[in-house]
Amino acid sequence: MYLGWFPLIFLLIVFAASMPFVLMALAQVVQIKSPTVLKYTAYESGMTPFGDARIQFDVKFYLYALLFILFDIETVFLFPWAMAFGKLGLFGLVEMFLFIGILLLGLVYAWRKGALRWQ
Amino acid sequence: MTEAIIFWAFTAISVTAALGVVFNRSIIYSALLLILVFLSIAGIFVLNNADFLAIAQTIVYAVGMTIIVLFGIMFTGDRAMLDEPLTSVRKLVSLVLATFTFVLLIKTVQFPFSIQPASQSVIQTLMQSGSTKMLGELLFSQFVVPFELASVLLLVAMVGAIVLAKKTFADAGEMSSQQLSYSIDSGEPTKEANSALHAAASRGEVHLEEVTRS
Repeated sequence: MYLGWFPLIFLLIVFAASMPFVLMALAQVVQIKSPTVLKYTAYESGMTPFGDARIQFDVKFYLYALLFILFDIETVFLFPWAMAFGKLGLFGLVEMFLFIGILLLGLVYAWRKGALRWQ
Repeated sequence: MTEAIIFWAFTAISVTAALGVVFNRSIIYSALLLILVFLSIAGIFVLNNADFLAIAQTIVYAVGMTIIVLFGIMFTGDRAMLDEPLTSVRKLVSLVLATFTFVLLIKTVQFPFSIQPASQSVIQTLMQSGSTKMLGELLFSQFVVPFELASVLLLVAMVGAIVLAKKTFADAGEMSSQQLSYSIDSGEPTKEANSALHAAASRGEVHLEEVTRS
């Protein structure tokens, strides 16, 4: 079985995911509780929160999400290329630049069409 | 032995999280649990020597697809689903769809694909250095044309998304300018309507002289 760095990555994910809970639990244990009404108000004359946190977002964000996905998929192709780079040499480099270049054409198109401009 | 324990742990996490996705009434929590499902399945991929698949699963599904799903939820608002009652018609439709998908999955797994077992040397390399490096070597030698074609496919998808999005936004803009003229006709132009009108005029869609005349 080939594991490589994956056990460490797994440990990192578990560590990062449990950290907020650990810190909050630690704060619960260590803290000295003496609450007053004033202490529960917004910190340093901040705004009192109102309404719901879940608001409807502007649909314009969706284009950015779509563009992100496409470049996300491009990133996936970078992994096998990087792993095999030592063997591929110049040919691999040229091929990958061609691949990224074709995808950058899409970005140029988006730019020219004004899709990246906030309207 | 440890491999079996890790496998069953990942399986338990993924199945529990998947049940959470289905049974959670808040769609935002469902989408977030979906990340856990994808990540634990990526763990199972790692156990099966499919390290590249695990990376792809994490990057494309756990990150990319979930962002699309979360964006979709944020555009529509998740309140609607919490308030909607589960009618019997909806239950029936989802039951039929779920059964169909389940049968399809089972049939796909049972389908007699003609898969050749990998050669001993391939298995040897797989055990030693994983699949990513091997895939890279194959991708840039034997499958270099399909690889470059994939970039063209991605380019087409990108251009298509931009064209569709631009069209949709243009329609939305038209609709708002219609509402705008309505609000002006019916009485006092509001502050928002005024500023939106000026914005439209600066884009050259509306001529301010015409509006003030009428």
